[in-house]
Amino acid sequence: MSLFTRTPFGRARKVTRISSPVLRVGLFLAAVFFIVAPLGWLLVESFASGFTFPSLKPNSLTLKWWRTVFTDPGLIHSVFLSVTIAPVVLVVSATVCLPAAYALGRYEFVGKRAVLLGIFSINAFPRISLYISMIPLLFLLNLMGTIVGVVVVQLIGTVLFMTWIPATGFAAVPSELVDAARDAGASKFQVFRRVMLPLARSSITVAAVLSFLAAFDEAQGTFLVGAPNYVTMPVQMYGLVLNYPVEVAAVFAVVLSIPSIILLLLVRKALFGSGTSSAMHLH
Amino acid sequence: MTQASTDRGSELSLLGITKSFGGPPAVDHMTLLVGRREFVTILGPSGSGKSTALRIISGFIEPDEGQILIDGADVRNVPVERRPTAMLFQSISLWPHLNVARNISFGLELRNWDKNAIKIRVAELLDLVGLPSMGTRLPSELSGGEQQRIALARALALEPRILLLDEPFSSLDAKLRVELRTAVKAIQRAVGTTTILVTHDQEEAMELSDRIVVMRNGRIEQVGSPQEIYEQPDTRFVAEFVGTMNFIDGAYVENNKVVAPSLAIPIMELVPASGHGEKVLGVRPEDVVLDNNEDAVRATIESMTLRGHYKEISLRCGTHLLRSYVPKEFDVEVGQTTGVRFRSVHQLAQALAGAETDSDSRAEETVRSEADVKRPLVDTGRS
Repeated sequence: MSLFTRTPFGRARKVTRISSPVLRVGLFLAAVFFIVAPLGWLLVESFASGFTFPSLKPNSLTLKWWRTVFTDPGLIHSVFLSVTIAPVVLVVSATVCLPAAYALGRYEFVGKRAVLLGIFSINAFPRISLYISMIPLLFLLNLMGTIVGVVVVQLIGTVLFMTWIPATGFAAVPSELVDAARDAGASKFQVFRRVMLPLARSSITVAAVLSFLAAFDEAQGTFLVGAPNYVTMPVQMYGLVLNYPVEVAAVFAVVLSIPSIILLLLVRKALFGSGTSSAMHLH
Repeated sequence: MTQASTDRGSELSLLGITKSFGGPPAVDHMTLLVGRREFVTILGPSGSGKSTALRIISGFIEPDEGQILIDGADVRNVPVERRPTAMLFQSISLWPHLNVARNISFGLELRNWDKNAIKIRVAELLDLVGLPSMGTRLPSELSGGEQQRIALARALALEPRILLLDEPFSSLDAKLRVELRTAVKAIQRAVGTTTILVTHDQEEAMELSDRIVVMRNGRIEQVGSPQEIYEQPDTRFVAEFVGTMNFIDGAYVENNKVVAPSLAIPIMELVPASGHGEKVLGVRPEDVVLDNNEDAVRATIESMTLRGHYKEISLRCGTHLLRSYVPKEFDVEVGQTTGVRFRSVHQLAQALAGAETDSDSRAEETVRSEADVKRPLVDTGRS
């Protein structure tokens, strides 16, 4: 009867497991082929001293490439910038967008459609043209080449995720649950914190992950606004591919993938519950 | 139960409450006094303003005009979260992310109750609603009836001075509904909280209430005990909404007979109307008596339905069609003619005195009752 369970996509609800063994093996192979194999290859490459064609087995293993990356101050600086800027962008984005998402999800107001469409249009056009048209403004505000400018430019890619997804989450909370909380003595803020946030948690988690990755992987705008002072990892990748041995790029690609993998595992736990072990639950 | 049930429950006064959402008022100058520990039901069809009235009392809606007094103190400026009222909602409103105990203790936690005190209070409330071992379950693991009991426990947690029930039984199936409302009545007696129930279900109102307030178009049509409302309805609407009534349009009473253009039926008792204005005569189906006395007027039995412990009969009497309830042993056949007599006849106001909208709404009412074949009906002249 209840609309929600503790983990809306999984536990405490009747679920259908993928029962066909053929399908399960197929999905497993697809996952190996498209996700594990490329990452594994990068990993192998990052430790390889070279290959003798046509063997895929490295001649010998070496830490040279990893050492190259982690002794190059420029590259280390990039890693440092990426892992600090993306969380800052995420926090700023959540602070600005979640209240907006709440308003969009729970209230009717004049111009609501226009706001939703406006936010949507950010992602509807080629991003590069948006960045270029922003540059005069950033110059005017003295934000070119500054860290604030980089944060601003990375924020743009998170806005759609951080408003639309939580807005649907907030909208799905039945108003009786809000009224009941008010009736039990909760102030409007307490309702938000104790009822709305927990019930919209899964949508906020999804939005946060997508936003973090959008910020973390953003290269075009960061390059235009931040270079040469602030060169994050994805920006650095361009140079690496051109100027370094391919193995160094492999090391960097592996490092760049780590946050994605960690987040994927975290999301799996947050959305599907820790009880979900082997197979993925489908509806 | 460790409840101190003596000083619970407050007096509530609504004085001239009016609320409009743009159109005609949803609640129109409503004045109602509810006594300490009283169980009052606001009964009315959808759109009668009953739920709006309840939400005004709870503070979710601010009235345009009027005063709300709880124990004599005006609470109009007291926001929902600080009003000494608690509401049980129509749909089940437990928070799905909190277990049963945390649902009940939500309000206590907000008021920084001590952990042990909360534990004791929650156990006490779970006992009260008859679900002592459910504390650690999640709402989704409970049945609809159990969830509504927990919602009641949650509403009672803060010892509200006024308990508001917004059609809390309507989402349940018939059997559970009866069970739960018996439980609610018992709990209300035990706790002694002044209680206001909103419903469109006359049976519910009859069973639970000390007094019933019949509402229509935002106005109070009649206030009285269930017995008064049934036996002495003031208006056509009340008579029709609570129980069933045959109306005999264009008839009057003369020499102990109901006289209409085509008939004169003897009666035993006349319940006169209390107000002024246009009147209509009404007879409850159980007061339409089949009687083969010489004196009785002849009628033809048009149809007959067994309704369990009684039979419902349609009688054609001249141009009028009357509904009658007779004991199920009563041996009659369709097509047979019989004598008819009325036991008690009600004189009813066609509409509430001073209701500006009454011509419109009455027209609407007529349309509705003609469409509804189950309604007792009287066609005047045609057929």
